[in-house]
Amino acid sequence: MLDFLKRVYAFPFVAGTWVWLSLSGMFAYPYFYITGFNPKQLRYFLYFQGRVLQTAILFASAFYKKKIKKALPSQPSILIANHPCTYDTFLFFDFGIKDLVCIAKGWPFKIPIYGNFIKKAGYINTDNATSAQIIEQVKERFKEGLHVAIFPEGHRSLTTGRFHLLAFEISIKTESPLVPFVIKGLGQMLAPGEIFARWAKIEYVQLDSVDCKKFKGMPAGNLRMAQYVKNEIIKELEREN
Amino acid sequence: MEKMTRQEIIKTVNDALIKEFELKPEQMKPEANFFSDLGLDSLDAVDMVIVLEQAFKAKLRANYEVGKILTLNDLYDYIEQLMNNA
Repeated sequence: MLDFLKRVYAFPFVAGTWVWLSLSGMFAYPYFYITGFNPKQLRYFLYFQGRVLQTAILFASAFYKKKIKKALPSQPSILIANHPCTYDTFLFFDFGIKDLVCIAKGWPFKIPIYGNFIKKAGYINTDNATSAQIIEQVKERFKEGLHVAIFPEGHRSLTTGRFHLLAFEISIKTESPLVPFVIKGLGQMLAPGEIFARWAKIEYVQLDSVDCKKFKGMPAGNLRMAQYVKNEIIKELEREN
Repeated sequence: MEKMTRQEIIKTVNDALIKEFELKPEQMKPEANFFSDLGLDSLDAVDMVIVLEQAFKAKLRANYEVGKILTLNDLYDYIEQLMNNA
């Protein structure tokens, strides 16, 4: 019964986010088409979409949404997070990070309208690309002053799964800081494979940035860095809210 | 890149992939496709190159063509060819 009430409460907010994401994209598309899909404008539009979605999550959590924010490094950085929910891609916008692109597998680029937006905004597609090619693209984004976000698990997972090495390889090869974020509660609100959300407490925690120089030159430095960051994320997940 | 026999290459590749991707030894058939048989995706493919570079202590990615290496056998051939050209 309690679970049913939690679902009834959260439903209008979460359903509203899907309507918002679809309709805002459809209405904005002609403008971007006419103006030639300006990457910066697209990134700011995605930021705006994300902020509205985060507001809906705030209501869906009945204002039990907490955020621990720290200063970002002054240079463009790699941002990573655990990945329990489909809304995670909008996490970084809640921290006010506008100048951002994500690295993703091919399928989001195939979503009508949204896929075109992220492609033109400069998001990086890993399909059919080697790490060397991806790192070159990341360097280009860094030159533009953009942060680069990646979910090292690669797919949604309630328990923290195997971390792909790409984020850590990029951090070491480009000598850029890596900033881990921890998402708590979104997996309870909308678990992988579920359609109907439920009320849950949400907490977003920004951890201290990790200096890649500690791992550079070590044998299998990227693996060690991945293990270190994963442990830090797990420790934060296990900490009581 | 240190010269190895084909059997040594197969063992090094298989050991590295079994450990990194938690695969079963019986899955490591030469004709196994990375995506449809071993269940890897594009992020795994990126990891695979990093892990193999560490296993062989050599750069693989300069000439690595993702679209052309689809099976384990393609990978063994590619590494063998690299060693012969080194």
